[in-house]
Amino acid sequence: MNNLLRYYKRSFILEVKRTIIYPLSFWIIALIWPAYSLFQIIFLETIYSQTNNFVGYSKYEAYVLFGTFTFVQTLGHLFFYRRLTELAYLIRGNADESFDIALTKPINTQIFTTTGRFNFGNITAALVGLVVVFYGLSQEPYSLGIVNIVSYIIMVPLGILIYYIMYTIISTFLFWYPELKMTENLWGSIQDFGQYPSSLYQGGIGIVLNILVPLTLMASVPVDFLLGKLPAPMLLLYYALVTILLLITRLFWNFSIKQYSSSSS
Amino acid sequence: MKYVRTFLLALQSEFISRANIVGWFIVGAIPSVILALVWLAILGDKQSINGFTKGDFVLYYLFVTFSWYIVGGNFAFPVGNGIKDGRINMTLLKPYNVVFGLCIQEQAWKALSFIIALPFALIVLYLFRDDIHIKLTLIQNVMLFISLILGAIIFAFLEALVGISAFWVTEMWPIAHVNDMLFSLFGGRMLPLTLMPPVILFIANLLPYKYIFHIPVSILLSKSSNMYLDIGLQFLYICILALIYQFVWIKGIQKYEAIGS
Repeated sequence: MNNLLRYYKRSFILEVKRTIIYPLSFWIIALIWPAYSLFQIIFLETIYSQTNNFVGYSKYEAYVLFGTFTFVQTLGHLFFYRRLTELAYLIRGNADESFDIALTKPINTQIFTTTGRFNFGNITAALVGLVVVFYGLSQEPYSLGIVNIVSYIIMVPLGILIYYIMYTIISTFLFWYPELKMTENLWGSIQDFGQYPSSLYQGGIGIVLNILVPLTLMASVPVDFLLGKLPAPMLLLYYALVTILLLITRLFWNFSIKQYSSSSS
Repeated sequence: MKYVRTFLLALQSEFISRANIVGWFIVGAIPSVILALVWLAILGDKQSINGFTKGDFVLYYLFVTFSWYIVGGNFAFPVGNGIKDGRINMTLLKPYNVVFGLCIQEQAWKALSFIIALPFALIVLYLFRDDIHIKLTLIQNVMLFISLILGAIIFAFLEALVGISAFWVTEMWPIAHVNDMLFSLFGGRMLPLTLMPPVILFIANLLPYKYIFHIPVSILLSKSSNMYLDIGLQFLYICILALIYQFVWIKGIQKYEAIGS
């Protein structure tokens, strides 16, 4: 545990130094991501110019939903995106480091190769997400109990964990098919499912997106807890679901890593 | 002939890692599936929204997904990377247009993806056969084809312009990202432009993005008020973009330091 904390502390300091030396990427991400939020808000306004109720969500509830999704997604980007995207290059052996070296480090390989780099530029978009959440909440008279707020605060980190779990599972396929070039784009597309209400997905697709691959945990479920659309005891169910998914991710990683054929050595 | 060879070589390369073709199809189809679900949910029991029926929405997003393999692509990065690492040097003195060559290479995965995606398009058309009504005259069919090709040329010029921005900037991905975002919003990939707020529609009318997808899909859905004028405007944008491209390329080459040569 101490090793792990030391790893994250060192990685964090190293990333801060990198950001200070090469600030351009930071500023680009910090400025572009909020612009994307603006486009999504235009989309929301267009939807609600046609209807007052979109699958059970009023306009400002949809703002809370979108703000939560932006917050969860950008924190996922902040903590996990960079390392998980680099995994493809590590496995193919065309990065500065190689997966061979990662295997010899005195630290859990999954933790080392999927976490430990930070995208600080995403902080601004996360803040924009929070502002959108508060804006949505301020526009309608909600009766938010302490249970609702606590449930929401617990669910948001679970949503970020879902980001990690799903992107890790997709990236783990690279051990089987190292030539796959679109894992990053695939995750980019798939996570879009998470920004809409869970009730949008009915039938088979609903079972997949709400239970088997619960991308709606990224935003819709936390917001449903906040707005009292889901009873608080359901929290335990979602907690158990995320724990099971984490275990599955770990098992899949351990199973898949045996396929690694060390392209660089 | 040299560009035909380029295309055939790129086609062979695509066959080396076939899983990518299927993967890219899934990547491209997901946003359209989500957006179609959103609009069908909004439509609910209503007959139409601003003249868009259930069949229109399905056809719209089906077209957006599948016409990407004719119109779209992503060769700004190969162009930009070629400039950054000096790979374009070897072609500058030869009778070979490097940007056009990369554009031709891009057509390989698009052609294969189109073939793979075709059965899925037919399945969707079959599932929604009672809702989708395509009634195009021969002239409209010809105009749709011309409009698609012109849209592809406009898209190619925009991608090429983003790519050759690498003559001036070391990090061109933000420009590509902004270009993508503008294309999504003002090009009608995200949603039909006629459903947008008036101010967005006004801006979209001034930008070239509308002329990539929106015009062909309007012809397909028989929603174009004057398709001859629309196609004329596509021609106009191609001329303007060609002039801008030529100017920027010449300025870029004058500035280019040919790293790696």
